[in-house]
Amino acid sequence: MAITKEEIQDKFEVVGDFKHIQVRTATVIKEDGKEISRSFHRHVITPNSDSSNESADVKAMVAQFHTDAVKKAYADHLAKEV
Amino acid sequence: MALTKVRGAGAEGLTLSSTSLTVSNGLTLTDGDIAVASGHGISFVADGSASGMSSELLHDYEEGTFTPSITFGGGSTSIAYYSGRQSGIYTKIGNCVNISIHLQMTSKGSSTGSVQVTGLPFTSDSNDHYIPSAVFIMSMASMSGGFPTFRVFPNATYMDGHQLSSNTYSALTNSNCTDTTVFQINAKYFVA
Repeated sequence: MAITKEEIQDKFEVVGDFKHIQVRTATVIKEDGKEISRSFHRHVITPNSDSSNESADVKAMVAQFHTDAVKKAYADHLAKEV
Repeated sequence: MALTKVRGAGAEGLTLSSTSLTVSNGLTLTDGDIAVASGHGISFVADGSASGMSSELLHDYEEGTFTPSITFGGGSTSIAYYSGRQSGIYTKIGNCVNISIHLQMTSKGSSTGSVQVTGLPFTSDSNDHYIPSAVFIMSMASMSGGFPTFRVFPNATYMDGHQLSSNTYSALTNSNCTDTTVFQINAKYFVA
């Protein structure tokens, strides 16, 4: 009986006015190749996030969506505290 | 157009077409799941609608974890946590996500400024609602500004810490925390 564990980034979503990139990581447990468990962990990359440790897929999305204009707009939004 | 009427004991109410199945009197699965295609869900259109209704489609459900963090003034220099005490769980139902956060520091580090809890699992929506939360705290320093609470900032992935008094509020800061401050936060908010 072989138990294996793998982590897969199985969902990427670009949401909101400031192109936040929502990433879902699935942890899949398999027994003899058959999936017996799947759980999820989420994190979000915002335009002011450090993406240096992200996957190649996420880095490509950051390059595409987090333009200087988006970064400035998000910074202006964050400064709008009430 | 119905193509087939399923006939048989107890099955007279089933109508099968090329694209759908209609069941006239309830559906029970004895095993297995109902899998919904992306972009679809469970429709409640047949029910009456309240004024202001914007959707009657339950299109998403998900459970999982996330990793929240404390920042002071946007920084987190040398902040450390007890093992297993930097955790968050979420349940998302439709466009609403419920979160539960447990943060217990062993060091508040050297960053200064307003307290934020970052790393929420979904971006909040853009309505300026600033959703408040329920908070349990331990090991705080002076709280002259009132009891702390956290609000979800709109169109973002963090919560701001505040101190509430009878008619105003002020920012919760590093000065209100100790090296062993504990925040346990329950909140729900709407997602982008």
